[in-house]
Amino acid sequence: MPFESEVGHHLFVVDGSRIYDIDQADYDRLGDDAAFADELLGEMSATRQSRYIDTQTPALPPLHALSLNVAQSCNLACGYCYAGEGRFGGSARLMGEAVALDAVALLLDEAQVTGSAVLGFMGGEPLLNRRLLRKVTDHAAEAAARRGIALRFSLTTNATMLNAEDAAFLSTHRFTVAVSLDGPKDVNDAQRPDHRGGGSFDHARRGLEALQAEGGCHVSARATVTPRTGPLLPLLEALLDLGVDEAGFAPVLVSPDPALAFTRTDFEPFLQHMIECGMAARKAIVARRRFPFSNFETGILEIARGSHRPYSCSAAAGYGSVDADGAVFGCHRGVGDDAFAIGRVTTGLDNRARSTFLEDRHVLRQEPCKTCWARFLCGGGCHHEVLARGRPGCDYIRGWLRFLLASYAELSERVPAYIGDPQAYFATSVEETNR
Amino acid sequence: MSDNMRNRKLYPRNATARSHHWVVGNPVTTRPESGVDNCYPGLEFDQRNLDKRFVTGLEFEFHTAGVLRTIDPAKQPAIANAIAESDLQAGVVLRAVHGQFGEARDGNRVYSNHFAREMGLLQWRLIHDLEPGPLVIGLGPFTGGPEDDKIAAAFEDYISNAGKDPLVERDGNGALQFAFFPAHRATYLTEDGVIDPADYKPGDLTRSLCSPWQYDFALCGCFYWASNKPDIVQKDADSPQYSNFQRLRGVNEPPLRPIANSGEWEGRTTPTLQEFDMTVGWEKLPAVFNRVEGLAVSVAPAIVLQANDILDRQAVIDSLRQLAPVEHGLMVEYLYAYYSIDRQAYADGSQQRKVVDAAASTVLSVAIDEMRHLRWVNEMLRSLGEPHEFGRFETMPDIANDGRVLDHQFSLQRFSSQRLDWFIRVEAPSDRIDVDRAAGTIDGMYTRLLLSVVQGNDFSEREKQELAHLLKLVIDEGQDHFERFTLIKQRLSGLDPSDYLRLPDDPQPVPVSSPAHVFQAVADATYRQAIDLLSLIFSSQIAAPADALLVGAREIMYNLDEAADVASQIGGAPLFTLPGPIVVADFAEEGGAALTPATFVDRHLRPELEAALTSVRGFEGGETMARSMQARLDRAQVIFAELE
Repeated sequence: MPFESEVGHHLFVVDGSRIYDIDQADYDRLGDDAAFADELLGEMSATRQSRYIDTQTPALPPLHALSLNVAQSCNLACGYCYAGEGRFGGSARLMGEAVALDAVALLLDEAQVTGSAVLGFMGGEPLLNRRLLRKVTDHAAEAAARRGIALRFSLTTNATMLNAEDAAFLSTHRFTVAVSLDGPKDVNDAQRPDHRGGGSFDHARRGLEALQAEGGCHVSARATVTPRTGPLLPLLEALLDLGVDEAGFAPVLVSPDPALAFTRTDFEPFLQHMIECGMAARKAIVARRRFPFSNFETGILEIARGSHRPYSCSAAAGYGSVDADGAVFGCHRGVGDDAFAIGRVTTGLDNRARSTFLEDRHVLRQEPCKTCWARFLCGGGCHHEVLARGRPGCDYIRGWLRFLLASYAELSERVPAYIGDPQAYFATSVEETNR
Repeated sequence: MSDNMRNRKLYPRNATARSHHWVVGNPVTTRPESGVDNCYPGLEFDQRNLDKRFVTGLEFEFHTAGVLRTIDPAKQPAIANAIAESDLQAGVVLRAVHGQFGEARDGNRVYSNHFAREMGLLQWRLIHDLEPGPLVIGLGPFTGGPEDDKIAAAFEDYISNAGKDPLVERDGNGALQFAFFPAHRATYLTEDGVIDPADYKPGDLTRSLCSPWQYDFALCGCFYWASNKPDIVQKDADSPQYSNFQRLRGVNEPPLRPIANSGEWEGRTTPTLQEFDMTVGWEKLPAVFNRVEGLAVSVAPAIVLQANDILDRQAVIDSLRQLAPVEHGLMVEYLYAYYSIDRQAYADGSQQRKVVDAAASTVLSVAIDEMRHLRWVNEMLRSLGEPHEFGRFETMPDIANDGRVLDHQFSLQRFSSQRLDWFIRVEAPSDRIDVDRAAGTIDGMYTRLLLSVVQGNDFSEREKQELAHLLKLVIDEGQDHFERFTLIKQRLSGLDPSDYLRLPDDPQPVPVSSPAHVFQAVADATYRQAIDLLSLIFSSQIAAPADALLVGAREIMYNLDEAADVASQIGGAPLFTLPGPIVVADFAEEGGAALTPATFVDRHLRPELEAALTSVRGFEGGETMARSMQARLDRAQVIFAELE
């Protein structure tokens, strides 16, 4: 696919997500004659020499990450929640210790091959089962150390119940904490009320401050966007003003309240709002100013790597999620859904189920994905959303990726040091560079 | 692809695009010059060896000067015509190079580098930087010739006139003044990017590596401590870092502090030996002991015996015939001492147990050495055509027949401190015989025999070789015995011998009523069998090699060990009763056929052992012992039978 940027004309080659710079004449001709790409690429054409992705289902990798839904219950009552207050359609339940320890054993057994793993805590609101969270974390950390496995922890929380003691504990274990927060107080409280209809922002903010006071965690803010949300840049700035390490947006596609889920037409303004945020991030990066908009930064660096994958995520492959009863699902969003079932913590992973899932979900078996130029960047979309809603957001995804491709070309030209090593890039002052 | 397309360029931007096109060959980081260790003198190869052929067909040697060694007339006919072999013999050196150098000088990368004569390494450094393309080289004589600036001026004239033909200037006597040639920088590589095997033969590139066995680090110009340069030959945690190359050569004084500035370093490391001297005279390189380099390794001058001290053939034979019983007697004394040590006297794992255990092992191994000496003495006798000798001394003989002798009667004594002192005395070395003040040791006698055999005229070359070899072996082991016994004495000094000794001195047969009696009898029988068998093996009628036969005889000795050990444990000391004189010829007459070791085992050893074992079987453990001893006899017979 040819695309333009402020620094020139480019060709995006789907096979291997390769980007080449081309001249104006070739760019113009490519617009009229797609077959010309093959001629232009010569022996580097995908049709002549493909070595990136084929229709084969990849061999099953060992499990790398496992999330525990330690509390299938929540203290908030967000209207858009795919999990329905964390209960996934069932009744509220807390995970027991035996299930959690079995899950840890399963993860460590699998991770022994690669020597590293991630243990995640989810819900519902996982801090409703605080006692288990701590006990399992301590146990897992020790067991992993004994087995020589580098184990990292993550927590997805609304932070409203997060106290100083929690913060100290999470900091000790250097958790990656994803805090669900939809924006400034008015926006957040409208979307994220508690069961009595009260706002949750002030509580979440206190939790966030407790975490930041400890300093040992990587904290990201994750804002859910509904069709009613409107412009995003003010929300993003408000979130970043809270001092989080990064912030990003996720549009609602599956919701118990259909009015809160995006439809095809809702995506158009959403894309414009996202691009507005992306341009702000791009500008900040060129000025060597931190503006950690995660949707943008992640996208740029993935494109720089030439990321290409037959799946949108590692669900059922390297990732699994355990419910309160010890059933393992390919993804936390698929908890309770037979289509996602891949085993039990007591009996281990059901590799036939995993293989079947991956075979079915391969992007080259999806319509209309297999002819889409963005297929290996997108991977076919979130399995949970696609299975529930189909693919209403493809134009948005392509539009966003097109924006990212052009932004990548510009950044790689103007601030190659950022592409090479963002941390080091921001650690160097502008004055140092000019000297 | 159309020609139009062929000229079109795509510029890869992201990671996959950049890595998509696979380029044949190795990445730049694998190139030899990328290795941190591959600068001069290099660990994988000496980079100079590559650059010495920077002009195809010419070979330079870059060291003190850049000397032209050879010209290949096939590749450089013009230069070969202009420079005669006699010029090369007199010495031709590189004086100037004009070409494109990698590093810009005044923004201009094409210029001339002029070299003084003695700057070979700097020349190499600059030539290494020379890029492919046309160049002009200037040569001059190794000695004599015009002033440097005259050669330089002439060279620049040649360059500015864009000389295409060689220019050779000689004086009235035909001596080379200078010579300038246009040439091309060699690329070294084939089209595949491989160092051209046609130009570089195996060994070419690894010559003169930074290797201790080649250069002794005398000129080691590197101190790459972060990698694997083996400069530091001795680590001393208590002193400043001290590297081999920092030492003062040829002076017995280590530097006491690290060398901190290059001037001092240069001063200290100026070698008294150059590489050439080292390569030629590597055997004379002094060794470094205790951080001090010795000027030379001290070697004692060879001893030359006075004519009247040299023993004649018969005297040597007589001495050997007297030495054999001494070795035999000592062996038995050591063995008895060994069996007198109770290795289980102290608690398992205790320090005392370890010490006693080590002492017992040492005594046994020395006893085994003496068995070997006895064998070697008999081999010497055999090689001189003499009958064997397996007797045992009663009184230590005066072998040198000069009245100086160790006053000693053969006896079986426990491993007391007095006995240990005797062992140390009898094993004391005397490898420098002083005929006037002879130590009277056995070792001294062997040394005199060796010198007599080597320096005398009574032995054939073959005999000299065989005897000298065996005599040296005996002498070397004697020194070792002395040191080992001395060490044991030190280690045992804290222990009370009565705690770990068993058996009496001068043992007597235990009463027939004692169970130990039968074991004592078996031990005696096996000792007798061992001597009988050795007598047979060393008799002149046995054709099979003694080496192989001794493997079988060793089985009999294991029987002796087992019987003696069991007897010692239950209070029956091994008596080592000497059998009567063996007359092998007696055996040979039996049945009219020549007696072989295998038949000897069958007809004599087996019935004799069986008779001795009969009474053993009734005792606890006796049956097991009897079976294992018979099995060894079987093995010996199999070994002997195979040799027939």
